[in-house]
Amino acid sequence: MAAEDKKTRTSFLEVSFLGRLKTFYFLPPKEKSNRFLPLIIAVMAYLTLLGSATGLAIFNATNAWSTNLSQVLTVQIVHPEARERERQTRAVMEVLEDTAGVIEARAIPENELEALLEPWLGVGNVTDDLPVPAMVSVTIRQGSQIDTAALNARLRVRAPDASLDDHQQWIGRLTSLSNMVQVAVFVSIALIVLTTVAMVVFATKSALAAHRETVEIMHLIGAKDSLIASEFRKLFMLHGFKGGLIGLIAAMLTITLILYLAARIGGGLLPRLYLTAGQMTLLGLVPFLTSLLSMWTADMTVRHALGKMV
Amino acid sequence: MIRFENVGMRYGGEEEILTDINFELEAGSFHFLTGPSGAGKSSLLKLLSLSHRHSRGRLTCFEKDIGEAQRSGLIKLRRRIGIVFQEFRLLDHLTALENVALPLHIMGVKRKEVQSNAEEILEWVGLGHKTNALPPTLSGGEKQRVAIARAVVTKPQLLLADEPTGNVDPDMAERIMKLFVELNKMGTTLLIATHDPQLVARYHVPILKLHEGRLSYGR
Ligand SMILES: Nc1ncnc2c1ncn2[C@@H]1O[C@H](COP(=O)(O)OP(=O)(O)OP(=O)(O)O)[C@@H](O)[C@H]1O
Ligand SMILES: [Mg+2]
Repeated sequence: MAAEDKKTRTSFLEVSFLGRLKTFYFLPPKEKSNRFLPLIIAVMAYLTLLGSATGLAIFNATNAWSTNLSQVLTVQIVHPEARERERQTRAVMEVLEDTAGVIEARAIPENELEALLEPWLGVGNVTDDLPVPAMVSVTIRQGSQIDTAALNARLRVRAPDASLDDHQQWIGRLTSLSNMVQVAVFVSIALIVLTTVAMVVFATKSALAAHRETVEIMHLIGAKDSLIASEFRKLFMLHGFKGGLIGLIAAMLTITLILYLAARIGGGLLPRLYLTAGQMTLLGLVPFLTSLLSMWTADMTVRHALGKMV
Repeated sequence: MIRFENVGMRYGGEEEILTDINFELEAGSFHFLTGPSGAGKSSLLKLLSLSHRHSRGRLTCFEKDIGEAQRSGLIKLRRRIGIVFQEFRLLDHLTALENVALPLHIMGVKRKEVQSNAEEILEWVGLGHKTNALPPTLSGGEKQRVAIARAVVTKPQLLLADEPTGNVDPDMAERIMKLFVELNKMGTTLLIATHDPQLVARYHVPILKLHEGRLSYGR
């Protein structure tokens, strides 16, 4: 087969309706004025995705944590003597059994407590001389409003060295940390979007300058602004989609790696980091969002420029 | 159809290129526009093709006051005007056929009709064998004929031609003029800018003479 001069472009006289999506109509087929735009958009999409994923994962983790914690109360009995600790622990258990809303009260055995301390103190270093407080873990029914102050007072009557911790302070700090992270992520994304819009505006202007003669001729032979803009919409939609897709792939690889490494640490040290399927799907929409953003920005820019022509 | 009343035009903030232009083109008329190089012929055609705004006076085109017309209104008017630019202004990456088909396509004419009309008119200007050629591969005269074909393919009511026979041999010039005369007979208003005295001498039509930005009638 002879190397016939391969047609690099489908004519607007031939293309089908669907073909129009990838065929340029009056712009040159190899439009090269903005080769770097998809890469820039890819970087922006990547940053957005990492930011969103971080925000969502932290949200998930703190949410799960505080939900769990708000169903658990802890009673701590601090006394240097083991016998007295045991006596007060039994008293605490009795009080708790008589308390409405309590599903389960469990005195945590000493060896479990020691196991919890071992990562810090080392195996066998928790000696009898070390006064480890006794702990009672209390599970309460979801939604039951236990008056913790009153319960604390009732416990103190029978066990003067007991103190009730409802983790509210801890939960409060956790929530404000999580809120702060979310605000920061939101602000970053807003800034990234603004930057992207500015980049697309510049890119559109340079494309318009590169094809000024073509645009002017189209205008002079009677093309409507919308028709001229449609060509640029298509071009920038493709740029935006390409960039978004590259960014999405890179971000997904990064996020998967991070989640894998986090899962490997395991244990109770780190809260479990994860994204729900719905959140993943949402992140998967990014290429569509970048193509829409790029297309819309280019459209506005072209129409604005055309509006200055007679 | 076209009326200029004390029209002035300038590029940017400088002095007027055209001053106190007064004339009228009746529907179906045929005029030459002559004058030395730099007199302002192309500039006057820019006003007529609605690609530049006049800076003074009153310009009426298709019974519309252009000074007061909206941009969207001008786009519609432009479709009734065919123009052959002095420097052709073809789209280099489109074939000759596509260049000619473009104005019809823009107007939303059916694709089949676009294709056959464009082919027919290219045949007429003697370029039936060059339909798939890109403009950079065409000679000056061939480009000019593609430009002419593009201007007439929509059968415009007003046809403006800037030196349409400047780059072709006398035979082809004759052929092109015949096409113009034919279109004029069918009702197209014609204004041809030229500084070819032989061409002007051969056709007994009124002449608009431009000299240093001022216009006078003559024959
Ligand atoms: N875009 C422009 N900006 C500024 N000045 C211009 C522009 N175009 C033309 N001129 C000036 O306007 C004057 C008239 O130019 P124009 O092109 O209308 O002349 P012309 O009669 O068509 O000449 P020719 O016969 O050589 O084509 C010239 O002095 C030219 O320098
Ligand atoms: Mg000229």
